[in-house]
Amino acid sequence: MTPNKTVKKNPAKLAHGLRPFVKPIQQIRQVTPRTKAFTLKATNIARTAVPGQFVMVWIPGFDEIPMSISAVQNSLGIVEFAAAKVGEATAALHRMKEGDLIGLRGPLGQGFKFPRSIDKGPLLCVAGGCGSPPIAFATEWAVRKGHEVHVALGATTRSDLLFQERFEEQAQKVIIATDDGSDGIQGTSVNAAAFHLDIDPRYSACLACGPEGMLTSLAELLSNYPIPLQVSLERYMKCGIGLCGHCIIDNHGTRVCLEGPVFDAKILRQTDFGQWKRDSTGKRLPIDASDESCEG
Amino acid sequence: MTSETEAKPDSRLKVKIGTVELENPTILASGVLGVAAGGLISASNFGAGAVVTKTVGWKPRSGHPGPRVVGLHGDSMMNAMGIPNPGIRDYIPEIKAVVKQEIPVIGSALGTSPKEFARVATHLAKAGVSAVELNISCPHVGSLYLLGMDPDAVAEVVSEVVEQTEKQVPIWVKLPGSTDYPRLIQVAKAAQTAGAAALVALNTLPALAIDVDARRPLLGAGIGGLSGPAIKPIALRAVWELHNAGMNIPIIGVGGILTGQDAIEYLLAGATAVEIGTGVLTRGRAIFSKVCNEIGVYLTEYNIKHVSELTGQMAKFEVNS
Repeated sequence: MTPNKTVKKNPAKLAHGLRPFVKPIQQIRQVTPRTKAFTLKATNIARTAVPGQFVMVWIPGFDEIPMSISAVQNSLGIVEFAAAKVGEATAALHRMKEGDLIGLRGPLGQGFKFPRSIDKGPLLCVAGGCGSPPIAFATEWAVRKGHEVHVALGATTRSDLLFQERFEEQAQKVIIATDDGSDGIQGTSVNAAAFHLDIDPRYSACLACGPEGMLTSLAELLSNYPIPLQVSLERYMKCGIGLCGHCIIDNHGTRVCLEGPVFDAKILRQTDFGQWKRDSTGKRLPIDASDESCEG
Repeated sequence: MTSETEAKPDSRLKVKIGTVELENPTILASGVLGVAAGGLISASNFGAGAVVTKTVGWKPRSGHPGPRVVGLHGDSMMNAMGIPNPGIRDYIPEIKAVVKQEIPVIGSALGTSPKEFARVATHLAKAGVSAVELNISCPHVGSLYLLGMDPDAVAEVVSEVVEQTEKQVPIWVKLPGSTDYPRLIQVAKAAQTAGAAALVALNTLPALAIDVDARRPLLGAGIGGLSGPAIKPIALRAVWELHNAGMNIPIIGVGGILTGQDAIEYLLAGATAVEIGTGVLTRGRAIFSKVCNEIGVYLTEYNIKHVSELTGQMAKFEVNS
C-alpha cells in the first residue's frame, strides 16, 4: 500500500506537557496568610510560557495539580506559581522546603491573547480571590509590551489580597475591593471593575480570573460595553493534555486543559460556564454564585 | 474542520460486529474523552463509528492521585487514572445525551462482583447503549486485572451479566493486556461460552515508569497501563491468536493505532473493527476520519469492495516449534 505518511502531530504544543521535569524548589515566599509562591528553574517552561497557561505540579508522594503560572523570569529560566492551602495536595506543598524536589510539566493550555495594538485603549485586568496569579503574569507581560494596564483586585479581606504590591508597581491604576471593606472599596473585584468603567470605559480588552460566580457577574457587567472579555476557567483536571475528557464544558467537547483555560467569554455562552463543574469522580455539581473558594 | 479531518461517509467501511452495525470500523476506546457527553459526541463528529464510554461502576470512584498520565518515547504513554467515575446513576444522563444524537454508544462497565457488573450493565442497557463492554482488565486497579486473567471468574461475571440483561444488549469482553497468549485464549473461550458477543483485545499492559530525580514511579498509583505504538505488536499478536483459536467470535483490535495502515494490520490479523485511544493525543480527535480515509485509499488501491473482506486475510504461516 501507499507507505505511511509521516504522522502529523497534534497541533497542540505538548512537547513539555507529557513528562514532568523534576527540580528543586528554589524559593518559597508566604504571600498571604494562606498562599505561598514557589519558584523553580525550568528553562523550557520559562522560555515558552504565556500568561494564562498552567503547569501540572507534581508533589511526589501526594498528587499532581494544575497551577497557573504567576510569573516567569525568562533570562534566568525561572518559573513561579502560587498555591493557596485548600486541600491535601496543597497542604503537602505548603509543608515543603526550599531545595525539596517537585515536578512540573507544561506549559499547558492556551493563554490570554493581547490586543496587537497598544493604541486602542488600556487593558482592564480583573483578579478575584485566588485568580491573581495569571492576572499578575498578564499585567507584567502587557506592561512590558507597552500596554497601559488598569487592575481591579478583589479579596475577602485585606490580608488575602494576592500580589497587591506587584499590581501597584506595574499597573497605571489599581482599584482594590474587599468583601469586608478592610481595604479599598467594599465589594468584589467586579465592583472595582465597574468603578474603572465608570471613570472611562474605553478599554481595548478585559482579562479576568477568579471564582466562577465572579466571572459570570463580570461577563454580565461587560455585556453593556463593547469590550472583549477573556476569562481563565478552573475545572477539575486529571491529565492536562486533552485525553481524559474530565474538564469538558460543552457538547462540542471543548476541553479546558487544551482549548482553555483562557476562553473568549462569548464562546462560553453555550457551555457549562457559570452553571456546572465536575468533582473528582466526574459528577456534575452546580456552581454556587456565592462560592469564593479556590479548589486545588 | 478541514477537508482532511471531515468524516466522509464511505459505504465500503460499514461493519457489523455481531448485531451491532457501524458506519465505519473505528471506535473511540474507553477512558478517552468519555467523562462528559460532549467528549463522546465530539469523537463521533470527528468520524468515530462508535464511542465507548468511560468505565462506570455502581458507586462513585475518585480514581488515583496524580500524576495520572506520562508520555513515553514514540507516541506511547502510560496512565493510571484509576477509573474515576460518578457511579452509574449520575452517569446515565451523559450516556442518554449521546444516544439521543443517534451515535452508537458502547457502555463500559465495572463491578466489584458479578452481581454488581450485572447491575451496572442492566442500567447501561436501559440507557440505550448498543453494547456493553465489560472492563475486567484495568491494569492499575489490581483486583480487576487479576479477575481478567482468571477464566472461571470471567465466565462467572459474563454469565451473570448475560442473564441479568436478558440478552437485550450484546456483551463485549475487554481482555487484559498480557503476553500470556494461551491464558488470553482460555479467558476468551470462557467468556464466549458464558455468552459474550465480541472480544476486545487488548487493554493497556501493566507497566512501570520511573523518574530518576525523584527516584519514584512517575505515576501516582505506581503501576500504570502502557498504551500506544509500544503495545501494538503485542495486541496484534493477541488478535491473531484469538482469530486462529477457532472461536468464530468478532474481535475488536486495540493498541497503538495511529494510521489506516495500523488499523488494516489489525483487520488482517483477524479483527472486525478497531478501537483508538492514545492516538487521539498524537493526531488529535480527527484521527478517526483520517484513519477511515486511509483505509479507503487502501481499499481503492487494491480494488477491495468492502472492508470486511480484509478480516483475517493475512497469509497463513506455521509457528516454528
